[in-house]
Amino acid sequence: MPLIPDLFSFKTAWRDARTQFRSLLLYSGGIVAGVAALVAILSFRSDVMLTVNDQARELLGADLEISLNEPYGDSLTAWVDSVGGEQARSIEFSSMVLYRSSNSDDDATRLSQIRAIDGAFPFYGEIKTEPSGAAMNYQEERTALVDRPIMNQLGLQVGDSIRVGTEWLEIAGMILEVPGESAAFSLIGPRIIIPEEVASGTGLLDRGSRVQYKTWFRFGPDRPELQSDEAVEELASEARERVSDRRLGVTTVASRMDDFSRIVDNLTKFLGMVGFIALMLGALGVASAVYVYIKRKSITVATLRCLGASSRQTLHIFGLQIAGLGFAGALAGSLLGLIIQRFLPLLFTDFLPFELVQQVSVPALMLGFLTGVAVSFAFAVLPLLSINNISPLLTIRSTDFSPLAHVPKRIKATVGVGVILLLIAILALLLESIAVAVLFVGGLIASILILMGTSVLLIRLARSMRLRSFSYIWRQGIANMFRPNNQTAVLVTTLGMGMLLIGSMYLSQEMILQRIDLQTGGNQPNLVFYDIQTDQREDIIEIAESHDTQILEQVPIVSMRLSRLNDRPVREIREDTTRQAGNWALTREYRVSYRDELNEAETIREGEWIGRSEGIGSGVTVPVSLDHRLADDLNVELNDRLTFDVQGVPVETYVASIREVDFQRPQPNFFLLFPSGVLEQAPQFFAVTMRSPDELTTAQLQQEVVQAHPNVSAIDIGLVLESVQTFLDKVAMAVQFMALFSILTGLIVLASAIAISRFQRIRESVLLRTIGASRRQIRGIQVVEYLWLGTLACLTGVLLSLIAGWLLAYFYFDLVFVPDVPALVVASLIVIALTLAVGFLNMRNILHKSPLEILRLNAE
Amino acid sequence: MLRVEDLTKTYQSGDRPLTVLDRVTFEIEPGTSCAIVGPSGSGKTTLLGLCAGLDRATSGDVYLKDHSLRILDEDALAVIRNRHIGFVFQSFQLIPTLTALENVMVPMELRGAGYEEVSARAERLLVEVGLAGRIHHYPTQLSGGEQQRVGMARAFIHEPDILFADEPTGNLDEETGSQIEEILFDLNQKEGTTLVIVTHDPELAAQCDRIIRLKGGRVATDSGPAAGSAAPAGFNRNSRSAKKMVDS
Repeated sequence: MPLIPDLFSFKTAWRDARTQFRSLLLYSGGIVAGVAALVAILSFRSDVMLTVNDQARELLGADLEISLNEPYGDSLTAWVDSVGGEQARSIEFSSMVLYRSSNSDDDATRLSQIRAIDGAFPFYGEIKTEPSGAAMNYQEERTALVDRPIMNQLGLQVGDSIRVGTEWLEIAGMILEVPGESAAFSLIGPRIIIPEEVASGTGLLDRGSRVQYKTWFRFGPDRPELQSDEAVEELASEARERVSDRRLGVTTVASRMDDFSRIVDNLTKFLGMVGFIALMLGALGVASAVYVYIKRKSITVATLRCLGASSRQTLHIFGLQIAGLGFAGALAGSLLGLIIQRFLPLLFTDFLPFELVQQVSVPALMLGFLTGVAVSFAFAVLPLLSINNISPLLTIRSTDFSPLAHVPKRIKATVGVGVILLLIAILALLLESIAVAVLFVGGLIASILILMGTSVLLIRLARSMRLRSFSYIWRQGIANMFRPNNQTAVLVTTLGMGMLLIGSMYLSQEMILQRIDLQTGGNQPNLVFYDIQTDQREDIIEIAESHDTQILEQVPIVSMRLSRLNDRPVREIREDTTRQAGNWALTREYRVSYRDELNEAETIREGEWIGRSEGIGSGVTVPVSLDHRLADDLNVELNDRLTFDVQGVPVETYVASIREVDFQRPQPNFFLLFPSGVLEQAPQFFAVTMRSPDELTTAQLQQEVVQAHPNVSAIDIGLVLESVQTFLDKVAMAVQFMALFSILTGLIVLASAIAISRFQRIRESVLLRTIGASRRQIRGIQVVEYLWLGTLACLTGVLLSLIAGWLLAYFYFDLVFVPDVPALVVASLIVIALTLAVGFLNMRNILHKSPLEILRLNAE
Repeated sequence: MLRVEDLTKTYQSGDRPLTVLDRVTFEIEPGTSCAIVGPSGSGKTTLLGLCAGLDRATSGDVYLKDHSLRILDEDALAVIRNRHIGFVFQSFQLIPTLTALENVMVPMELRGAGYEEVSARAERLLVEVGLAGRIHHYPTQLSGGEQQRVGMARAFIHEPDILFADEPTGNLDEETGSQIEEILFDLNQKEGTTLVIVTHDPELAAQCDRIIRLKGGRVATDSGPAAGSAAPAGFNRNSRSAKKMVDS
């Protein structure tokens, strides 16, 4: 069969479409939202990448950054000196900071992120502050820059003061932007920038805090050999090789760009997938519209056949129209996508470390557009192929033509497989992974089938209900959903998918919060103090008890490093290219605790927990317990031997047990656990978990402890919960925004379904008016129809999201599933109201048609 | 022109075969008119569909201008329909999205003819059937009678050798029906087309040269073959041709 249509096919396709442009465009509207979502996300990705490329140096603020979690040794210091260039240094750590506002009598304390800087960092970009220029002088003036959220929250003003450790500093400015950091950084803890020389005076650096020592370099014209990215990369490799300590972190502009691009890539791919769901649903809507369209056109096709048109010509005529539809829908979607692209950054304001440079990305536009055309056409192929099965006999013998019933099973199967392969190919292109594409398409098809199955079940249930006791309006409204050529199942599926996405997202978010909440309720700790030195412990407990706070646990912590694994030195293992143990597990500083018994967050997977052993120096090999993830990382099994360097003293151990540890609980837990009797005499510090009776006590207690012991840090679980909630809200908003496109698709498909059945609906309404129905009654019937449609769709979506929620709660979150029913009801009511609104908007002219006008119309 | 040989059509009704046409045989000469009549369910429409190559026979064959329809595939049949056959339908079957003029032009355009070439002839035919002022109207803007006139202009545009009409006046009132009959026979005679009409209307049938009456899928009576304007034995003496002969 020649693929290129002849002139007649083109002419007839155009002439036939000419009078029905509006309704044809509405049929193709299904894909508009999906294509718009895709184009917007792809363009957003392109914008971000463009900005990253444009402002790459501002992302790092320097040409090269090195960092180490201890003061530099001689060799590293020598290397840094030899590299030259312009340099700046910082010491970064978390610590409790006391905030004193002139507007309030009470001080406040927060675990904050301290950056103590010396030098002109950032070399590229600037730390934006209010008043502007505060970042220029804070080092000379020994003042502090404080993050905007905490200043707003506590009502702090420039001129107020903070205390870091033992040092008081005046607030010189409010931090608005730091190069390379998004506003979301503040969620971890307020950012404080102080001069480096102050940090050493705080007394915080030598008392167990985790500290990062950073150096930034800028290579100006005096180092012409280091002007290219490659040269800096080479220097970075040299740093890694020459400095014997492998824990050195080295970041170049290129590696920072790579890291950032990877994150953005993952985020946009995920959101793109949610957008793709809308596109698939839209294509399903288009396919359903094409099915009904072909069915309605069957007599025209039969007439054309009678007049001598070949099957190829009839196929081409309607194929051209359908392709044109896909083209128009994709074009409209692409244009809408460009508009959404303008506003999309608003969703990510807090996550972007720069102002986005926006421009039209032709590849993104083309990719979204072509995906729309291809997907809509692929979904329409099957109903389109049924044209070949329309017999010219239909012209003289009127029978109902069911397009798909006449397509041979073999062709159905071939087209089905073809469509699935096409979807996988498109997604693989978008996601750059065939495996993910296969899984996603498989999952999506399964979800759509489940949704369709559920909607068909619900529809059957509604249909089988004995409604005799209902009024005529109710019975007629419900019956209308099952008129011939209805698209009720597809409508319920598309709207239902939107509800499913939004509902599931909401329920998961709720469960994450509920899980954290649960872990902090009852007898669980709500306040944890850590970095407590042995000599501070008694005092802190006393302070806590004076505030009616219950001490739950005092956890000793000993730092150590792994020096040998099964008698092989770690250095040798790391140089072995065939090794299977991970770098992180070999080189990290282990923070280890010891006790007699396991706690409730721990379960033994293999071996036996031994709670007591002999002390260091007794010659006994100590039985230790490893978390299973650490065992995997180190590639060790039961009875393997590990030698630890406990601050200069080697301790021989063997793997006596492998545990599963639930790290989500607020009490301190450990990858590596020693039995009692070994480490008691080693230098150690403590974490103390407690339960304070209320928020006020929590605040007072923190304040008093920090006043007395500035090095001690606290985690206020209530504040953590708040931060997590804020973070989840922001992420969920982006995902739910994309899920809205599915709802939008559902509403467009609904409008298209009404357009398709418009004549039928007009005739029904006129018929009813002819036999005496009032406009009010006809309106009532319409309300019932759309009310049921919306309700069934929401019921389908909510039902499945509840099942998904329950499965998540049971198998993943380990929670008793108590869904937030009022929230789901509100979301459902909104969708039902939208369904009603779209229904009425599309039906508004019907009531104004005169019966006579209708009776004269042919059955088009 | 049209030869029907031993034509049988059987449908499957549940688990039993249902024979709608049973070994029907006849031949229609060029330029004559023939009415196929019979009660509902007698197989008239089935016979028309088979004669026009719209459907496949269970056995037997139809020869149209000596082309066996049995051996042709669907697209070859479409070519035969386009070159040799015209149709007039009971429900007009105009393409609702095309204007009257465009509807009439379709058969010629299918042959690849250009717009200018066809539109003049189509317009002339529409004027001939009395639709001079309705050329650019859409079917929904026309009355039933007007739609059927368009249907007839379309049936004759490509000068078919044979015209099949399925109850052409079935959906029209008596007066409009008569006008349509008038036009149908006029065009038929002017163009020298063979005419096969399926009808319930005895008056319409009576105007044809020959009447084949079907009953239970078989030919019950056949007023006999007729050739040209001659009137051999069995020729319908009330037909327009006969009247014309008498008049002359």
